[in-house]
Amino acid sequence: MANLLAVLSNSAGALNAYDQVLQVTQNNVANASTPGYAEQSLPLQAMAFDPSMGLPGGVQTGQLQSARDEYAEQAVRQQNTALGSSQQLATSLQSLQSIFDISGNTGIPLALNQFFTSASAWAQNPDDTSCRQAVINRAGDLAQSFNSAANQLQTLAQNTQTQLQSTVDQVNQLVGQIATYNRTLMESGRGAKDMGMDAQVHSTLEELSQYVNFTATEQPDGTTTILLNGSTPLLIGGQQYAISVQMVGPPADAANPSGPPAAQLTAADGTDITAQTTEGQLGALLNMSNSVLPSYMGDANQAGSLNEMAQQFADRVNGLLTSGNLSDGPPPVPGVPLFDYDATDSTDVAATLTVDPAVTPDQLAAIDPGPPEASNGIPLTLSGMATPTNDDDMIDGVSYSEFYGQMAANAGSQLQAAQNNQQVDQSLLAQARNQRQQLSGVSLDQEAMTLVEFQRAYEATARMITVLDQLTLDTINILPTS
Amino acid sequence: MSPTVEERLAAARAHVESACQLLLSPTPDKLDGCAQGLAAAVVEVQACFPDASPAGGDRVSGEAARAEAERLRQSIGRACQLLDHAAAFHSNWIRWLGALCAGYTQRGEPARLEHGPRLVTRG
Repeated sequence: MANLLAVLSNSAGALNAYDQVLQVTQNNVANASTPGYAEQSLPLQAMAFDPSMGLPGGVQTGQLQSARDEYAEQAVRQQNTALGSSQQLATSLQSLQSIFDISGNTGIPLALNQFFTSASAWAQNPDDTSCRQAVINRAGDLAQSFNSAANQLQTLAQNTQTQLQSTVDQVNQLVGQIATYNRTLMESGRGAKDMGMDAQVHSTLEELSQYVNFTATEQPDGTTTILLNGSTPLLIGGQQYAISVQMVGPPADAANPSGPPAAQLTAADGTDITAQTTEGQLGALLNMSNSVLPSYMGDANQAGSLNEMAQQFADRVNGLLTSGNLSDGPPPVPGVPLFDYDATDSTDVAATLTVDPAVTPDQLAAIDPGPPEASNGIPLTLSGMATPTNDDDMIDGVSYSEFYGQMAANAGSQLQAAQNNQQVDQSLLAQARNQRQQLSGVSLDQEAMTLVEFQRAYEATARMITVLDQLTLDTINILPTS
Repeated sequence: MSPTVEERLAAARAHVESACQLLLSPTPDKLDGCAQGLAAAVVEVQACFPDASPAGGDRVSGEAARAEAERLRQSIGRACQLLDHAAAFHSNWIRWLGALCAGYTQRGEPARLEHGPRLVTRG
C-alpha cells in the first residue's frame, strides 16, 4: 500500500510540475506576438528517489529563468575567444618575424651576399690563396647564420611548448574554480547561488574564454556544465575533467622519424582533441606549434623551408666543387666538398650545417672541365648563383635570396594579418560588451521596438558600406601606377 | 586650393573611423549617425575621381594615394565586420527569442517573432 501511495504521490507531483511548465509554455505562445516579451522557461528537476527512505522520486519545477543574460554573456565569451586567438598569434608571430631579417644587413641574407661576393673575387683570381680562404670563411659565416636561425626557431618552439603547458594549467585551474562553486551548490542547494556567486561564475567563465572555446550551460540545480569545443566535458556537476598537453615525437615509419615532436592535447579520457581545438589562446599556440613553426623547421612529414634551403644550397655548392678540378692532370684531380651536415635527419640540416674544417684553400676546385674547359668556371658559376639563370642554381624556381625573402615575407604577412585581426577583434569585443550592457539595461518592451529599428538602420548602413567599398576600389583602379 | 586625392581619401577614412567608433556601441540612433558618416565618406571618395583619373595630371601622387586608399579599404573592412557582428548579435537574438516563445517550425527553423502593429506615445 505504501508503494502505491508513493507512486500516486509521485504521479500527482509530476502532473503538477508538467502543468506548470505547460502554463509557462502557453504563456510564451500566447505572447509570441507581444512586443518585447522575453521567453520564460521553467526547468524540471529530478527529485531524490529512495523508497527505503520514503523518497518517492519524480519531478518538480525549478525557478523561472530568462535566457537573455546568458545569450549576451555567450556573445562576449565568443568574442573574447577570438581575441585570445588573434592576440596570441600576433605575439608568437612577432617573435618568428624577428628571426627573419629582411634588411639584408644581418643573418642569412648578408652571409649569402658575402659568399657570392667572395666567389666573384675568387673567379677574378682563381689561383689566389687568400681569395680561396675568403670563400671558405664566408661559407663558414653562412653555415653559422643557418645554425643561428635554426637555434632561434628551436628556442621559439620550446617557448611555445612552455606556453602551451601553462595555458592548459590555467584552463584546468579556472575550471577547477567553477567546480568548487558547483560543489557548494550541490551541497547547499540552488538557493546558495546568490548574486555574488553568479558574478564570480560569469567572471571566471569570461576569463576562461580567452584561452579556449567552450559552451557553458546552467543546469536546473544551478551548477554549470562546461564542454570544450561544445563536446569534450571539462566540468559536469562537481566532477572536473582535466585536459593535458604532451609533445609527441614522429612515428617510426614517418618520413622524418627524428623530426621535432608535435603538441598533442588530450581529454581526461585520453582522447586526442588537438584537431578540434583551433580557437582561443590554446588554439593559436597549437597552430603555432604544429603548423606555423614546422613549415620552417620541419616535422614528421616535411623538412621545413629553412632546412630545404640549407640542404639544397650546400648540395649545389658541394656538387659544383666536386665536379671541378684542382689541376688538369693527367690524371685530373677533383675538388672536395665544402659543406657538411647531418644527412640522416632532413629536419636538422640548418642546425648542423658546417664547413668541413679539414678543407684547405688549395682543395677548392676552380677548373670547370667543360667542355669548354674554364680555369675559373666553378667560382664563376658559384657567384652566378646570386642571379641564377638555370634551374640548377635556383630553389623552387627562384634565387636563394628570393627564397629567403619569401620565407621572411610569409612570416611578415602572417603577422600583419594577425595584427589586423587583433585590432578588429578588440573592437568586436568592446562592441559585444556594450551590447551586453544594452541588453541588460533596457526594458523588454523597449528592446523589441529597438530590434525593429535596428533592422532598418542595419540595412541602410550596409548599403552605404557596399557603395563606399566599391567606389574606393574604383578609385584604386584608376589611380596612376608609378 | 582644393584638397588633393590623398587628402580627400584621408578625410573619407576619418569619416569611416568615426563610424567605427559609433558601431562599437550600436543603437539605432548611432547606426543612423554611422550611415550619415559613411555617406560623407562616399562624397569625399566621389570627389577624388576627376583628379585620380589619368587626366588628373600632376594633381595626384599615385603611390601615396594608393597607400591611403588601401588604408581606407582596411577601415571600411573593419566597419563592415563591426556591422556584421552587431547585426548577427541582434538577428540571432530575435531567432532565439522566436524559438523560445513560439517553438520551431515544421522545417526545424525557429519560429518567427511577429511584432504586431502598435502605437507608441512619448510625452
